[in-house]
Amino acid sequence: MVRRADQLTWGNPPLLILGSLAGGPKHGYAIVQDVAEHAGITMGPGTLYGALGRLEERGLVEALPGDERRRPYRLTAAGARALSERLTEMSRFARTGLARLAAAQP
Amino acid sequence: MIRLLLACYPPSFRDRYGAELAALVEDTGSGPRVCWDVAVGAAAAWLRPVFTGEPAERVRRRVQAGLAATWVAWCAGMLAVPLVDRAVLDPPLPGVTGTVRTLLAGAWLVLLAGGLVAAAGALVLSRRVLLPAVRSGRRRVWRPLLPAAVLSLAEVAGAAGVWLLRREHPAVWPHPSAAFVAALLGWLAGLAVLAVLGAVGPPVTLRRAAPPARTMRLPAVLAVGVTAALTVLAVVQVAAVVLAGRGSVAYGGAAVAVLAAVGAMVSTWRTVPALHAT
Repeated sequence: MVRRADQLTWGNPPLLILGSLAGGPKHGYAIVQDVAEHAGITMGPGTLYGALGRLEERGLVEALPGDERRRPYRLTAAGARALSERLTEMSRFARTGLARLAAAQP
Repeated sequence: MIRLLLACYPPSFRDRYGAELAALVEDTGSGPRVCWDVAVGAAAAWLRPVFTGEPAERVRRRVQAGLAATWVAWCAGMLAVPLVDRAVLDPPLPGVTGTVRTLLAGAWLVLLAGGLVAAAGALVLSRRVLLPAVRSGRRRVWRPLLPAAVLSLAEVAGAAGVWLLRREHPAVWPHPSAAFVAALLGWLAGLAVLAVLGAVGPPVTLRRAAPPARTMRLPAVLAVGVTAALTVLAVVQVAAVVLAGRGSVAYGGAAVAVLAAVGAMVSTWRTVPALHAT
């Protein structure tokens, strides 16, 4: 379950995780903290590991060696590519939305 | 509470993420919101299992999970047949016609056919997985089967006792004592426990044995036949219950049959592509 700070916020758990790991390898708790800090979204443990499992299954993230209870994850090349494509689409959407808003201003 | 919820995740998920998930719960706290999140996550993990690791290991785990899911579904679907049969025919519901009786008789035949296919798969797995484990003294592998085996013997002994009592003392049968009724209820409760143990034991054994994918290929192909039988059973029983009319127990039995068929179909749908890779 994802708890959002407001109703108009964005993002789904896999995208948020990829975005967080773009800043470097992190373990579960660090991802939760990073997402809460930068996106204002609190991910529950079940949501995080459900999404992390899917991402790992699809080869978009990989686990690094480490403590079994605090295993860090990092983006794979495929994960970085997928994130880049998605963020480019979102950026285009944001630019269009902002341009429309600017044009609609009296 | 949170420990129980964490234990509700599928074994493959627990093996891979269990320790990390538990550590994160410790870090974030285990309030009601976290409990709910973990419960939803556990349900989602069962409905859409995650298989990570090397490609060969992922295929192996997928086939293993498919076999386990089909077995559990078969056990549930199998129980629905006598339940619906008794609920509709004993005493007959108002809408019972020749067609309903034919459908219910057909369900028993489908159950027999599906049972033979399931038994064939179980035999293959016993020969390829269980016997080597027994011979090599790997108790951990076959121990999960023990409770069901012991309880089966107890249930058979109980049934034989009832049969003997009825034959030797027919006068007791119409006016049973409280102790006899209690024993009979205990025997019925034992049957319910046996159904659960029988459904859970073999998948645990299979998981502990962790056989290679090619060893499970033939049983997995046979599991497709079991799924087909479960699907036919669900259709036949729903038709019988709808035609027969009222009867909440009958509807409940038919619902179990439908759930079992849907579970087996979803699992088979996901396992068949993996079979091409074995």
